[in-house]
Amino acid sequence: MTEAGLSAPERRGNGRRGILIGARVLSGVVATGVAVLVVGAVALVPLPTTGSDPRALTVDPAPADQVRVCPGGALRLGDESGADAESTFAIGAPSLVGQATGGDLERTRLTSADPSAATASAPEVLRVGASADALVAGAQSQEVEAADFGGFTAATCTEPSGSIWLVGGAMTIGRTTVLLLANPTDVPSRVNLEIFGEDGPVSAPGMAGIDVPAGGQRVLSLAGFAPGVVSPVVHVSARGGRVIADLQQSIVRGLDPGGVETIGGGADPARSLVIPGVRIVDTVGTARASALRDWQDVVAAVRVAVPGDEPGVVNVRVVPAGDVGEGVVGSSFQLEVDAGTVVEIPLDAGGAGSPGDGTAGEVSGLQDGVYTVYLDADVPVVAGVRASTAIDSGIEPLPDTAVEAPKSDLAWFSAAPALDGVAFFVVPAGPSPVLSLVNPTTGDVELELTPQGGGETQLVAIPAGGAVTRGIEPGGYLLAGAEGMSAALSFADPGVLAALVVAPPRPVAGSLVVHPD
Amino acid sequence: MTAILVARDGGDTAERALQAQTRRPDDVVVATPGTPLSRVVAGLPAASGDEWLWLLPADAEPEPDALARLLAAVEVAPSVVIAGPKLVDPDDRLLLRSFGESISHHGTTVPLADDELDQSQHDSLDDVLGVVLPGMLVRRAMWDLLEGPDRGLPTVDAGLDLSIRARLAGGRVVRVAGARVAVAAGAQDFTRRKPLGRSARHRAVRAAQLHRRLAYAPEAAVPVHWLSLLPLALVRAIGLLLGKRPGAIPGEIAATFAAIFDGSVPAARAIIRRTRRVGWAAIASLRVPAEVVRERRVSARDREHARSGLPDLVRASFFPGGLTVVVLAAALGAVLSIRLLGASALAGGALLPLSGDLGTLWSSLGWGARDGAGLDGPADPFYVVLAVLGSLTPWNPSLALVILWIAAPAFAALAAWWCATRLSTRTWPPVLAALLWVLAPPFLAALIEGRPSAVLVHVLLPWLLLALLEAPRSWSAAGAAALLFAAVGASAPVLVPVLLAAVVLWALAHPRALLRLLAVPLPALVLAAPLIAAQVARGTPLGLLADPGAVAPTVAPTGWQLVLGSPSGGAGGWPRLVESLGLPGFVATPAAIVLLAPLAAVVLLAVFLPGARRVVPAGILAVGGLLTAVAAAHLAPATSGAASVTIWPGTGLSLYWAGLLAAVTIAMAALRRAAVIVGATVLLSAAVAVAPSLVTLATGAGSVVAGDGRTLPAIVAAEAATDPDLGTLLLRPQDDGSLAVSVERGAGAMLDDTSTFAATRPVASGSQVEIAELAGNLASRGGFDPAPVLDRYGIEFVVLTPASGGGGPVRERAAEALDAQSALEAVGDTGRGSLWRYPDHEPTTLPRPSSPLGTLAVAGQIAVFVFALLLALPTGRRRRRRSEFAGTGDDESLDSGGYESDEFDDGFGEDDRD
Repeated sequence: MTEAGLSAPERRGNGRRGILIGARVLSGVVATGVAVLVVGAVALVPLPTTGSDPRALTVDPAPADQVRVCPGGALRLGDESGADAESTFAIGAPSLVGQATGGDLERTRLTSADPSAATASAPEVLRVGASADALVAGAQSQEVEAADFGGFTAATCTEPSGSIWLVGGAMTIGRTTVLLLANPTDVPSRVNLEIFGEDGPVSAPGMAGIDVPAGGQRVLSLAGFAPGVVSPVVHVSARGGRVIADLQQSIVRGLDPGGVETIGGGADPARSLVIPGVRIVDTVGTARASALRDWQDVVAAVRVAVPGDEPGVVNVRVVPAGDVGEGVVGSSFQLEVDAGTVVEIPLDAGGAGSPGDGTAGEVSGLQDGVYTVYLDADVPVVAGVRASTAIDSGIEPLPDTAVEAPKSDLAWFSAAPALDGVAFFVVPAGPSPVLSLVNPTTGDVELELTPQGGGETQLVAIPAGGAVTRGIEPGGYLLAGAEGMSAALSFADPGVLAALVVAPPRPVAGSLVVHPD
Repeated sequence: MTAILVARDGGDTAERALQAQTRRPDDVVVATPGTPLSRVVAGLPAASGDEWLWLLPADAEPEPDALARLLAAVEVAPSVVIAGPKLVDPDDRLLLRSFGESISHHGTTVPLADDELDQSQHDSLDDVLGVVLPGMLVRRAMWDLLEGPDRGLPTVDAGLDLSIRARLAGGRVVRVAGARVAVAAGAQDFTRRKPLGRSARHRAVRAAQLHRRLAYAPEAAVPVHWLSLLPLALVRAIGLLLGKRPGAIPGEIAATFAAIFDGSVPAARAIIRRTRRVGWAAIASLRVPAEVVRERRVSARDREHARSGLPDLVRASFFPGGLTVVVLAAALGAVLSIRLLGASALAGGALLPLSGDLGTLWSSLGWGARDGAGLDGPADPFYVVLAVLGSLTPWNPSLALVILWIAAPAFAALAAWWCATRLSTRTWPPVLAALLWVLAPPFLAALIEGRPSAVLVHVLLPWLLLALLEAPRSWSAAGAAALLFAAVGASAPVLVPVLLAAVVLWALAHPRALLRLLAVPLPALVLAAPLIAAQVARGTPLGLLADPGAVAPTVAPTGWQLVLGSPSGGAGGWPRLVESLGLPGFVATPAAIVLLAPLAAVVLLAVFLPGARRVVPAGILAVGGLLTAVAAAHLAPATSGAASVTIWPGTGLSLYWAGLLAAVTIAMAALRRAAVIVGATVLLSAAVAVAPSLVTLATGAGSVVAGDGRTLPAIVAAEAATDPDLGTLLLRPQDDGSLAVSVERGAGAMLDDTSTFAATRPVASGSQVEIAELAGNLASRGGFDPAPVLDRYGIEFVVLTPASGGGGPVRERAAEALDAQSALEAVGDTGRGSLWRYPDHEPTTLPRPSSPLGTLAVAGQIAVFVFALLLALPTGRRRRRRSEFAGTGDDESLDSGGYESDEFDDGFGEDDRD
């Protein structure tokens, strides 16, 4: 049908329908356009976000008192006859030097683990009120002279902590290692122990949840947990009150006392460690003595533990301190340590000689002197160095003959943590104290050493990567410019050896952002 | 014989008609309107013999023989003192306007004939209780004796009252079927200058009834009646609401107060006392029996309905479509929440338990403590929703949330289906809409993320839209819409602006129901008024838009994700799915676009199909919802810990989705045959589009888990049973290495303890600073003594929650410091965190904040809500019709029937006198 064929009303109807459809299409197109516009705007136009910022307050925690706790006098589990092994007996009292700057020093005593002990042998708390420049330090030394217990020991008074790494001790026959725990806080402490040995981590009942009463001391025999372990490494972690922890190792060879040492906490596990001021004395005597039966552990040795889950390769460098003198050579060697195990190896393992091989008269590879031991590992490690002294008897003993034991002593050199800018330390009374300073950084430094008891401020220059050793008088010292340095003190005399490290104060709690809701 | 004309402007009809009377009055007196008739009559010369007065409006048109017939009727019966003609409509003389009046046993005026066709059905009975004033022929002597009409009854019931008193005085009142007078105005406007308006008439009718009650009552009963006036007004106001006549309530109240201070009662009683010659029992037989009153009311209702001309509702029947979709959705809900079956409470996301007893639940309304650190403030409107929800399972309010979670798909499907039946009368479009509503991405995201307010919004939104659709013609729907608006607005304040705009537009589109529609948001605004006042006074008006409930961080979605309906950065799980399939990440958005393309195509198609005009509101709704979602995603009024929390855009997307589905439903209705295939395509593609969300829900990978109804360790809850105000310091390590702190009271923060007023604080208050200092020091080794602060805030426990992400170091630091804190003793580690106890805690009772203004506000809110609730209750008969497309209609309409019910008895009348 053509347009012309339509009647008029039909045409009108068609026209109206056409208009209707046209309008619908038009409105539809408009609506579609609006939709596209809205969707496009929403999808593509970036908009800023406005609103309130979180309420935030930066809280600077109130500073706490500076506290150092000295481990107290030497202790023995069981009496002289070896009976009553559950009880603790104090042996004498240490001489203690405590000093403070920036506040009044307050000295209190904790309750000793030996209820009948003299007050002087109980752990002592050195406290100075919180202030910006408050510093406190203390150290103790003790010459022990008991029937089967003798030697010189020195220990620093340390700041209580929740995590302490102790490298030292042995639980073989004649070696007694006890763990001294002291809790200076008002809160009971629950201590958990991790003990690593040469065969891996040791687990034994009673290593977890050891209660240390508030303001009290607790003494435990490591042999109770890890009997027979030659080279233990102990990690003490405390919940509740923070504690101090020390190992006290004593040696009896046959019936003769072979030395006492108090081993303080060293640096936490790290890939790089510095053990400053390793003092090797009486190399001839110890070499001779090492040939005797049960004297093999007088050889200087480094003990390395890998507490993590990955085995590690450790590079050990034994470097003589710079001003010891010409001709003192060091050594360098590499160790592979399995995860969770401890390796102990003579310090001169990388040198020419080999000690303990029974070759009489041969001198150990290391000569008398002060050494710095650097450890670099691909996993975090802890380490310590044991050195001993034995008076040279002058005679070449036949192997495995019982001769009169030479006077001997041992010392454990702990890895020293890096110091802050200012270090405050105390040199306790002892024979020929020596301060060793190590600069492990890559820049030369010049330190100021100021005696607190009066005296000239000395300037100590240490080249990058070098070490300085200096004789020092007992008393308090302020060491300025010590950022990143490591320091240790050692004492030596014929048949006497002891060491302690200078530790920085633990970092105060930093400010914290708090959002109140 | 004197005729008295009451003239209104320009009305001389009656005067001319009087000239045409077969029997003319001896005298004609014209009175100006507003002058009391008694004064006009008093101005006439004294009565001489048997004189009669004929009262006529000036625009009345008596038939020529009217007066003759009236006089004939009274002349044959000397006892007759008042006679009334048949008042008819001037345009249709067969339509009766008034032909005698009577009262019910309760004293309500009952017209004996009212707007009905004259088929001589009333002609046989002469004797009536009363007649109206216009057209009344009254004996002058009786008029004088009774002192004319009661001064307390200026218009309404004046004739009836005069007649009753005449009867009591021993006279007879008759109606004369032969005499016909055409009158335009109603009897109540006789002697008035201007006719009464509709509401004024209600008031006048009620005032007249109350006046008569006080005038007629026995002496002893008057005080009782007087005292009952006010309570009765209240009861009747409720009745008027239930009868969907809220407009009559002001008149009711006004009439009641007029009656309370009615000074004309003693005079009226004195006249009755003086003139009464027979007892009330003598006229009892002339009253209308109760059953007749009832019958008349029913027939009046039918007439009203017939007159209103509203079409009957036509909608798809619930069987089988609605039932099928609800059952399907219920099954889907059970599958999706299968791990929650049997749970007594929910946890995760923004879900917290509700307070354990109804008293606590309801007492959080009003002015009160809004956090544990001494912030007082107004309640969130959301509390009301929670309180109502929790009251559904009074033995364990938290269970209501579990039920909501499991049944939400079914509820949502039912709501959407019902709403869609208003858009399409066919069976399948509503079913499609309901299924798509259940599969809405924002709804599934709300279920995954544990956002109870958003789930509630999704379930309630279709009901709100349905009620709004019906509101222009139904008071009941308007009441329901007001309540639903309040609930939706309380659950998602961010929707209020767009919904307000929608209501205003809708009101403008329905000018006849303008005020009624504009009143819909009122309850919501009244509910939020204290919060609005407090937030504005504090200078944080943006905080009004914050999501109520627990503050749960949001991941801001991109614009594309919003367009695709996804309210969270997770984009409905698509990116993760694409990743797990090993496809490149950029595939995710196009995949979602492709899958939702059929839906978009149908929406666009709708604007080209017939009925496109109905798509406009749907389109406006969708755009409004989308823009609301965009705004929400870019507004962060609240904070939680270290994070600013943006408003969740899902509620806006629910509205967006609703608009899209409305368009789809309309398009389906227009598509006819092709609808099934198109609908199936849309449904399938949309289902695939949300499949990752469904999998997430069904496998329990979402945030929601079954809880035990506690938010703090059990030992705290146990202690709180005896010490309900004990404080717990809650330390939450944040991912950025900071620490969030709050003080919880009692057993911990419940959902009804959360407060947007607290969450939107711009700066920390003094006590918050103090608590932050406490927290910062407790989390650090130092010399701080926490005891004074712990004592001041009544804190007994410190809880350090487990850390996630970057919060590990700060948690360790705090745990170590707390362990070493001598003022605290470690209790141990619990599933909700490590716990420390302050042993020196002394139980104290915190002062309960109260504000008279707050109490007043609550009273006002209760009044408004009772008003809306009574209005919303469906009381009318249902009007149903068979759907053209399905079987029997079995659905219940929200509609009240739309009629105006008659004046009803209050059952408290002047019965049993004498």
